[in-house]
Amino acid sequence: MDIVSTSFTHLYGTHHGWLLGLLRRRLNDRWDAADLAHDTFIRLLNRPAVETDHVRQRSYLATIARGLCIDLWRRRQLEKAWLDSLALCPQATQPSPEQRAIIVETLYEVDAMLARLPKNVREAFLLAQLHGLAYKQIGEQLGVGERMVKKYMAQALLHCAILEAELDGMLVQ
Amino acid sequence: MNTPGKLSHASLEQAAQWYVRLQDQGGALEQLHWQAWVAQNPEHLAAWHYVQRVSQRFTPLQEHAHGASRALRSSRRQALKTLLVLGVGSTVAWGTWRSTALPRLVGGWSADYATRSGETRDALLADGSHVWLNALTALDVRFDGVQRLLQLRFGEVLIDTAKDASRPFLVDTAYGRMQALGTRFSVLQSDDHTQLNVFEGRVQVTAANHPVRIIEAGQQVSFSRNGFQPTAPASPSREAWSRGVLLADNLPLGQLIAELNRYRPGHLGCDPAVAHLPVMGSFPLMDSDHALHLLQAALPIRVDKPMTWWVTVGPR
Repeated sequence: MDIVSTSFTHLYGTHHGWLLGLLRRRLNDRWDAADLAHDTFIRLLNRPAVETDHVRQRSYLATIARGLCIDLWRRRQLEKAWLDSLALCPQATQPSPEQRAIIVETLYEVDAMLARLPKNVREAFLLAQLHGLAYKQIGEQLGVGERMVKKYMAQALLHCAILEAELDGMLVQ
Repeated sequence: MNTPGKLSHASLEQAAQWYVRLQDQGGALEQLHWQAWVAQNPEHLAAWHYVQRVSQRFTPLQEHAHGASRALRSSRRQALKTLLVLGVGSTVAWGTWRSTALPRLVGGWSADYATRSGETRDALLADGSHVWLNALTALDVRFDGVQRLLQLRFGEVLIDTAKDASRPFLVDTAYGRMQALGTRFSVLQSDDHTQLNVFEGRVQVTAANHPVRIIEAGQQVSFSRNGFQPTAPASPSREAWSRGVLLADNLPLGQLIAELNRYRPGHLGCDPAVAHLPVMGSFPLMDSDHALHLLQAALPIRVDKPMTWWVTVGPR
């Protein structure tokens, strides 16, 4: 534990200022930059710091920071797209602030789960899970047979279930 | 529920299948079968729980389905463009193996005969022909009064045909049609080509827009949309798998690893730095861990397993 915390303190002292500068230039927002620099080092606590070389350490940090930037951008993008379409709805159906927060968080999670699925599979899954369409209707929309839609569905479900189970550390070989 | 590492990939696969069946039909009989499956094994219940959890993720979004799907369809490219300016070296997209391996796994579910990774099987067809299916294979059998047709959707089959002068024996793949002329032969369908090995008799091959070819015993040929490769000597390894043996005769390590990958779930990758190493010997297909162990003992390589489902072979 001592070794870990010492090397972490050392890494933080050596690279935090540099990383903050990098993120400020990229994000154009000093608060976002400070948050992400902080998060980057938090991530580092959960991973083995294997690099001893100064340049490699920075490249490693920048890689983590880059992932966090994508997450941030994507979250904002999802939120914006969702709010834009909400603006078109009549006032009566506007969700409460709590509901909004839940929805944006859910969008972010679902988006991450589906990110690596092929386009048609994603689309079929969304049509079934969000819009409640029958497999036949989905097939018509996508221009494929019902049999293919079932394959898409099973593929999407398995993919997401694996991720869920991995999150819980439940998978075995 | 909270004991880690209690759930297999196979159970999740079955649970996903069940979900689709119930959502699609959901009749009383289907429900009964599903209940029997859940009751069969506590692991099945756990797997079902995860598939259900996936489905429940969407619940908060359903009331606002239109806006939600618009948001989810918005392009990730914008975020990625911005990311490029950070200009750090590339990271490994560790998820990609799934999206490439899954269509094959999932596609097999509705074929007449199908095998998963790590499984081979043999089947006696109605005419007395004998078919062996290699791992990750899906085969449809369409016999009627005028022909005996096998459709190999992916994977590999080895066939001993029975004689039936009145009905030709045909094997179709995405790239062409093979007609057995009294014979034992194997057909391997991969993503971009079909490979035919003839061990006895002859096989006639028709590939789109190319003249018909006849492949003799002891020969192999590969063909794709772009036509035929030159014929080569038949490869004994394309028959050996039906006996559970992977035969390597100067086989590059990369190819051998790709072959082993069909016998285990998850990712098994080979570092290009060692992919060219020639391998000689025979390896047990059904015990790929043991095969990897043998390889590690014989070659200057190291087998790494940084996480479950993820094995890489690299230089030592």
